This record gives sequence, structure tokens and C-alpha cells, in this order.
Amino acid sequence: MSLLEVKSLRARHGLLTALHDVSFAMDKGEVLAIVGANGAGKTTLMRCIAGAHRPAEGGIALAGEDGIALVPEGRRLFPGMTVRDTLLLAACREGQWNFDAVLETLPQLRPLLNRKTGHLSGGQQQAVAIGRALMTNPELLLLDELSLGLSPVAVEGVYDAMPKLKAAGTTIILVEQDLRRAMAAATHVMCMLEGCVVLSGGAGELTREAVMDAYFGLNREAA
Amino acid sequence: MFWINQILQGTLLGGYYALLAAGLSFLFGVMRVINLAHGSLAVLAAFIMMVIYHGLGISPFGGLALMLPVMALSGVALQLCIIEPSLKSGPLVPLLATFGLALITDNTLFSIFGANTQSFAADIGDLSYDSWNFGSIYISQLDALVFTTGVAVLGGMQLLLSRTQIGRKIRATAEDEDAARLSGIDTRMVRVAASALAMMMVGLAGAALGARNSFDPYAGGPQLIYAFEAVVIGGTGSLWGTLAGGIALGIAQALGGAVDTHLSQIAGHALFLLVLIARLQHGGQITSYIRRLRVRFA
Repeated sequence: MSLLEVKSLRARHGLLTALHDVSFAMDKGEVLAIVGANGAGKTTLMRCIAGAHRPAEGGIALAGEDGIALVPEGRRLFPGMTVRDTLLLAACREGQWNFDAVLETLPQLRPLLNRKTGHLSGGQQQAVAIGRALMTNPELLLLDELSLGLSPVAVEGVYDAMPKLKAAGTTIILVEQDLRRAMAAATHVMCMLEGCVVLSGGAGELTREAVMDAYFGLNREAA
Repeated sequence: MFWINQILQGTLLGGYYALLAAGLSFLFGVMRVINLAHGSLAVLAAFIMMVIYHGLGISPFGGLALMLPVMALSGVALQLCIIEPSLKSGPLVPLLATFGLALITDNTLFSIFGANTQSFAADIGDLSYDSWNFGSIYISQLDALVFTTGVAVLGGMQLLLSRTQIGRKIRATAEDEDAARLSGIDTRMVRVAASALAMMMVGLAGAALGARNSFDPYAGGPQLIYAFEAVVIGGTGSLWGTLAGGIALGIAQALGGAVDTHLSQIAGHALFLLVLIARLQHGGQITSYIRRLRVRFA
């Protein structure tokens, strides 16, 4: 049985239908990159999976009891709290991710433990947000717009952790605008356009050109 | 020596004000709610201790151990039945709701116990009048106990907030409730726990009130004012600031009372007004000055 199964999902924002019959499944340990232009429905899909948006139709089934952790767009940290307290705050379940394991995966946080998160750079804050989500030992980790608003150096620092997360068997859905990084980090890629899944497959099977064509809807126009 | 003694007595009195203000400051810091029933609930705690003493024959110190869980439960009820529903209607409604609770509490106590003033100073033995003498300086043992309790409560709360998981959850909920939920925190339960803790602090303040003063069903109003003044002088939402505010208020009252007996209360209110005006007019400058001092002494 798949870890996550999304079936015929349809979601609306008022009169606007943001998702049309979206279906996919994920196995444990997979990293799925969802790419697509603004308004494609990526964030709505993430919010539906995280339980923050009620779908109009369809179903989402998650195997296991440990739940989902979302690293939201904008990070939503506690500016007055130290990095150490932010990480310890989320330690609510036993599992492979504890304080030491998170610091091993995100070593850039080690010298920052006693600093308040409000005083950190964007890249450092993103690392704290990922660490906080890992500390909850989720079955599924949702990373929304990981590189948004970060400098290239900061993005590099955050993506350095991805191989370690994959090696630890963490199941991840990654919403990303940066196609190159998304394809390098993921095991599977799904491209969305206007609320529909227009292309999906293994990251090694899809060419960058095919994803780019799907991203901009070129294949559909040609058809 | 006279003025040093006055400052010392004011500092000890400030310990009581800090203890009284701790619950108000804590509840405001976590939920941004000003509990106008704070003073009345402290008086309720004193009456509960009196009932335990006279009804069950348990000493005031034993009664304190019974009263504190009752106050914690009243905190749970306060949060679930009054603060939470009223917060849904906007930030002003909890003010009105807790004001209504104060009226109901005062008048219920009046209908049960009448207008007579009460005190259990006589029930705590020598502690109510014993003192340590250092030349011309006298330190009341009861005042010292209340001061120590105030410092211990505020220090304990600081440790709880900084070192424990429930403390981290309370701070996270106070900073950003939506983000706290995203971190897997049950913010409703955190607010209930914070309210229960605040009411236990109110219970301790009520016990101190009953031991060192006389009280009656309508004594809650002045207690609320002292607590409010201590919180404003020390800076809202800061526990150590609350201690400093309580001590400043106590010293102002003691020095005012030394000049003229009638000036005692006025001196305290005047300090409150001066600090309030300074905060309103020079808030940014004061904050940056305090920040510079913190950096310098860090």
C-alpha cells in the first residue's frame, strides 16, 4: 500500500476551481517535486494534503499515524525564540529525528543554537523551519517554495540537506519554482498546469525539455 | 537610616505587589487578555482559605495546598467559559466579560459572607507580627516570606517558560498562535494550562492578602489597581519587569507615606501616571535605552 494516495482531488477557491481531478500516489522514501507556474495549483494541493484546505471532491489517504509536517511558505518561525528552543518545541514524538540527528543533517544550525530566529538570515531561518518540521518525526514532509526569497548561496545551504534527508528515508513533497534544483533533488517529478497534472514520472526518466514544455503548456497547444 | 528603612519596607511591600501582579502579567503575556476580575479572584482565594480554615479546621498553610488546585480549576473554567468565547467577538469583549465576572464575584461573596472585614493574620501564629531587628531596622518575617514567595514565583515562572516543554509551548502560542499550531501544538490546551497557572498565582496572592491585610468582598478593586500599576510600571508581559514594577510601586508608597500618611497611595498612583506618560511620549527612546543597557551588561 502507498504511503500517500490522492484520488480524483478537486478543490475550489470560491467559484474558481483550483484543482481538477488530481490523482497520484507516493511510496515511503520517495521525494516528489511538484513544479508549475504561479496559479498552477501547487500550493492548494499542499494545503489540501496538510489539511489546511478542504477539498470539494476526492480523497487523500495517508498510511501510518505519525502525520504530516509542513514547512510553509514564509517559514512562520517564532522571532523571539532561540533556535534550540524552536527545535525542542517541536519534539513531540519519538522517532529517528531527534535534536542530534537534526543538527547532523543541518550542521549550519549548530553555531546558531542560542540565537533568536528573528535575528537570522532567510537561509538560516529556512533551515530552522526544516529542522522544526523534522523534529515532529512526520511520515510525510511538505516543503513549500523552499528557495523563495533566498539568495543563491542560502538556497545552496538549504539544498545541501536534501541528500541526507533522502538517505534517511524521509518521504518528501517539494514545491519548487527552480526546475533544475527540483529535478536534482527529487526521485519523482509532477508538473501541474491550471489545476491539472500534465506530466509525471521518475526524475531520471523525464528530460528537462519535456518538463519545461509541460510547465509552459507547449505540448497541449501543439496537440 | 530612616529613609533606608522606608526603602526596605517599600521593597518588601513591592514583593506583595509583584506576587499580586504575576498572574495578571502572565495572562496578558500569553493571551493578550487583561483580566479585570484579577483582584476579585484574589479575594475569592482568600475567602476559600478562610472557609477551609473555619469549616474544615485545616491551618492556613494546609488550606493553601487545598485552595491552589481549586484556583487552577477556576482558571480552566475561566478560560473555557469566559475568555475563549469572548475572544471570538474581538479584543474588547474579554475586558467587558471579566469586568462582569468581577461584579458577580464581589456580589456573590457579599451575599454569602456579608460586609464584615476578614483576616487570617490571627490564625498564622507569631508569623503575623514577628520581625528581625537590625538596630533601628525592622524586617517583618511575614513581609519577608511574601517577598521571597513573590521572587520565587516569578523566578519559577521564568524557569518554566525557558526550560520546560510546556513553557516553550506557552511562549510559541503567545508569539504566533497559527505558527504554533503548524508546529503540532494544541494551542487551546496551552491556553487552558496558562490560565490555570495564572489562577494559581492569583491564589498565592490571595493567601498573602489574607495573611498581611484585612479583606472584604469588595477588596478586589484596589488589588486590581495595584496589580495593574505594577505591570504597567514594569512593562507589560515581562515577569522580571513585573517584579521591578511591584518594588518601584512599593517604594513610592513607602516614601510617600513617610512624608505624609495621606501621600502613600497618591505617590504610587503618581509614579504609575509618570511612567505611563513617559512610555506614551518617549516609548521608543526608553525601549532602545533599555536594549542598549541589556547589550552592555549581557
